[in-house]
Amino acid sequence: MNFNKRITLVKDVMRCDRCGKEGATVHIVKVIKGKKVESWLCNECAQKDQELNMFKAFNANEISVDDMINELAGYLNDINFVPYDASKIVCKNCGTTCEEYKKTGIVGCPECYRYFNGDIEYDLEKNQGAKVHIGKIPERACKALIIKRKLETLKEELNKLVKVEEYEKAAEVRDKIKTLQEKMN
Amino acid sequence: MSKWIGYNEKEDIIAVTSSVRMYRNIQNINFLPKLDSDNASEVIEKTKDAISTIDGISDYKFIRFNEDELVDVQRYYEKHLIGRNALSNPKNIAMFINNDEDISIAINELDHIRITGESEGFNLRSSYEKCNKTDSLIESNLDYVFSERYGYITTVVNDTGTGLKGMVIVHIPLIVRNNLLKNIKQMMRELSISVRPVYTIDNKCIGDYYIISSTITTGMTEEDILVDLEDQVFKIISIEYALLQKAKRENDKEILDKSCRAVALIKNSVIIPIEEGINLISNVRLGIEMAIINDIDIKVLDKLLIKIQPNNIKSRLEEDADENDINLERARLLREELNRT
Repeated sequence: MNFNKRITLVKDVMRCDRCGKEGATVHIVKVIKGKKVESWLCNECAQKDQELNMFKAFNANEISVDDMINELAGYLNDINFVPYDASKIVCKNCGTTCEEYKKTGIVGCPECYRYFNGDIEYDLEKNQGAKVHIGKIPERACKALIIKRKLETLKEELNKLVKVEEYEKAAEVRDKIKTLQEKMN
Repeated sequence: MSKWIGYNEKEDIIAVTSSVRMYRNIQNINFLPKLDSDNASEVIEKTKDAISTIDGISDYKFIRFNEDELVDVQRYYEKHLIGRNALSNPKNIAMFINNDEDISIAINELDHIRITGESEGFNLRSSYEKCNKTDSLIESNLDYVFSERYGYITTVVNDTGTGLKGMVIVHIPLIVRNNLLKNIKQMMRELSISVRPVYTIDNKCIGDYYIISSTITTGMTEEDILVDLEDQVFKIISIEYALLQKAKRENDKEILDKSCRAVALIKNSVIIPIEEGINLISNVRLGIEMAIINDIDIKVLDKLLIKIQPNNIKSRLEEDADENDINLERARLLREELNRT
């Protein structure tokens, strides 16, 4: 099962997409490989539809918890193993393909990080155990970011101080936060 | 900097040099795989402009390599100032270097900018300070590629984040002789520290010099990465030192013979090929570490290791000098340096 489904019941008279009769009351929206496919079915056809059986069973309380978990696990597996062609993922700025990156570990320009971000984050997590930078920040170019990071650490400190009821120190930290926030604005 | 530990002479004896590198790139210019010669010149010019107005680094020597100056590129490669990638395409490479040659800025090596700070012995802290100061100075005048999430963006994805690597060259002949290297390598690999030989011929290590370097660049601060590396290098140094003490206690005649023989060979040889040269220096160093030899300065020996490399000798000889001339000159150089002390 590699699609999401949603069922809406409508009162308007529609033609059934399967048998052509008037009186389609079940609206089915499927998302298959990123594309949205809509269809309308009449009651009869909807009952025959295998894909809807799960929901029917659910309504009739016939489905077991195990079945649901199995269904869900199959669905998750499908998401994780969606095959894709790395040679077709290309950085639009420099023309490097994701396949080239996967072979060498080298990219052609900063934009590649955006186009291959899924693979890059996966590799960073695998090789480095982390994917988010916490070290030095360029001082001149990223002044705002430096203040933002400082605010984050100060807020953490404030929370800790409040928890241990060190209110005098907490007030000091709060004042620091205020000054920084004013600076930022 | 409170986490740094002060190290004394003991560690300095086993560690040869400590260096810290930072990889940086300039905004809106492609990386090496997609870098044409115009891009390369742009990187060089932009860096040159930025540096020319910065107090403290504007007086650095600027070297622009040409294709016919391969000897120069190789000479700096032998000094570990530029990497192997520079050898394949020297015409795009340029370098800034200070007078003491302990701070260098290599351009278009693999990343647009590679800053190296180096110190003698075991001193990652001093190397980091040199490197970090230079980096901040350049950044005050040049826009680096930086992402809030990934940090400093680098050509090799595995260098991204801090874009920082620490490395210490250590001399560990007794660890090798006692077959402990394999275990150490395994142990370090689990801690994401790489151990690899400095000099190799046919994939075989010569002279028992090894580079211990950090491989983690993201998810940790610069200081933590280096303090972590420092801890691990200290472990390796402690093992080598313990083995030295044991050999001393047991009055190891084999080592005594090895180092005394090396001194005699250096003082009396006329032709010394590179492999033999490195091995001889390594054996003399072991003698100094064991306090068998007391009249030779260990620092002089470490500098000799670079001076005797083929292209460092070649650059001081006539242009048509062949391997034989280099081997003759190497023997002369070693003889003179050792006779001086």
